[in-house]
Amino acid sequence: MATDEKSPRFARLHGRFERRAVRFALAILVVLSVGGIVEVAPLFALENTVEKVEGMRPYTPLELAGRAVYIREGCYVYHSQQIRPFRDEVERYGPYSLAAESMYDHPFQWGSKRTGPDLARVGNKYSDDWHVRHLLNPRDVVPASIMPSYAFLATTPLRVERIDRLMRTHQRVGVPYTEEQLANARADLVAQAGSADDATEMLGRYPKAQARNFDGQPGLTEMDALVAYLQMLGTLVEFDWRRPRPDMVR
Amino acid sequence: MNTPPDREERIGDWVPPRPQVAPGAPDPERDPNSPLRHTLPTFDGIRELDSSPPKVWTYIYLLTFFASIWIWVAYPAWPWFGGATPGILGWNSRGDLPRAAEIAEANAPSVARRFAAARWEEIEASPELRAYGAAAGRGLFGENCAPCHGKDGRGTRGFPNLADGDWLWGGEVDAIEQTLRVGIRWHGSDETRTSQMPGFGAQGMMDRRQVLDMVEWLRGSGGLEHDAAAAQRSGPVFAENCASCHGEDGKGNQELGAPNLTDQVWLYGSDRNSLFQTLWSGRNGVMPAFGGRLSDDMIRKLVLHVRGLGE
Repeated sequence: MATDEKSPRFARLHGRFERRAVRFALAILVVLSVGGIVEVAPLFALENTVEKVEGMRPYTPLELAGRAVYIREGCYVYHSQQIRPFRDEVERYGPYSLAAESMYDHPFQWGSKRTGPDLARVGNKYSDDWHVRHLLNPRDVVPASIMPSYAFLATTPLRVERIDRLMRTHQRVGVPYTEEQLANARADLVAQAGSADDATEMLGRYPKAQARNFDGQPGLTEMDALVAYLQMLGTLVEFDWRRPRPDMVR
Repeated sequence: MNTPPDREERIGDWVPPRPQVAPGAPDPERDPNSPLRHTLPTFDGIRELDSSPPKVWTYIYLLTFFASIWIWVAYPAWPWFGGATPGILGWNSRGDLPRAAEIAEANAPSVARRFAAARWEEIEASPELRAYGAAAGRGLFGENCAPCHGKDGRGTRGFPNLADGDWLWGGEVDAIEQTLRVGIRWHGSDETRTSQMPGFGAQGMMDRRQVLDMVEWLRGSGGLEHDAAAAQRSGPVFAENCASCHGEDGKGNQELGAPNLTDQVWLYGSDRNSLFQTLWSGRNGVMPAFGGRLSDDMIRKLVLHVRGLGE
């Protein structure tokens, strides 16, 4: 009977919670929200969450349309866009991703699984022709690939009229599109998929943008948009991970 | 002695019935290993003993508690307004990366350091350095080059075979290095290698008949079945349009990346349709510049690997 005397108070308390479903659920909620508040809430006010870097700009209309295709097709389920600050990753993919490089992503495309390679710096790594061939049928260029074919993108006309609302939506959630950029959205979108000579205005509004016929075919398709998006990924910010600025490593 | 005690917990007003226990028999509501004397309430008539976990789990549980406190103190942990707590060790993954790279370089085998410091002539003169570079270039090739040129470097339609000994822009180490560094017709590099294969048909430099004849000439010069009379006819057209880049004899010019037309290498296919397409619309393959993406050391390793593919 000696142990009976120790009949612990904790066990009684525990028993009281565990046997009452609603009370138990509420207790779980309280405990979890403590974690949430402590871990998440300060991030919104942190000064060093998003580095101040040169070169970031909002997506061009064509890139944004391509990004919408990327999200629609669920690419983020198989490809991450987040290079971690480890030696093996920077040697393979390039400098680690900065938070600033996702600052105009709504939602971000970091992903959580790499069935295929990371795409955070795939921009300018391969030729347009490669991207088109690879999207048409990945096995044509990478025999061991298990990626599905996205050949229909080449024959699906891009719905240019959607870009206005897409950009307005992004503006509403915090992307600093100017009224000038919004007003010229459709023209800029079409211009970027043409030759660079005809896109000088657009290139003025979006520094470091690339303008050309991305899929090499006449007509503006979702292929143009997706390749334009892929070819700009990770190309805006330049920094040396071997000599990071002090504010980047806080 | 063994009479079960009164329950302290009720579910509503219902109290589970006490089991009948014979004197001297073990108490069915007690786990002999547990200080607790009650079972959990019955669930659909099933009783569950409220036993303690083994002690070792309890200690591990406590250990993780103390470990987490150490981590909070030592490493960046608590986000707070204006910054996160940096931790007394001052460590963070971004700051650690350059140090990790330095350590890796310091611990690299001596051949790696000698390779990095050597000039091309020294590398060429040393079988050891050549072998090291080519082997080290293999992994880089898989990541950066294989998507287009294939894992074994044999290429595919539109992406040249690097293992056949036929070089568009030159197969010397300097030439390969330059190609890797600046790319071919690459929009992102000012010094990129560049030349144009025009669309002779599309741009009106040849008419349809002349293009069809030239297709036969090309097949003939590559040793394929062809219409000899048509090939004969295209002689003057060749001299006028093609010879300036591909040479009078059609053997090409590596200064311009103009391919040899007299060998059996067909980058864009040797069937009549493909050849017609090539002549009518032109072909201008693109290779990205790797000068900004890869270090000099990496590029030299790649050069050695690429040059060795055909051996």
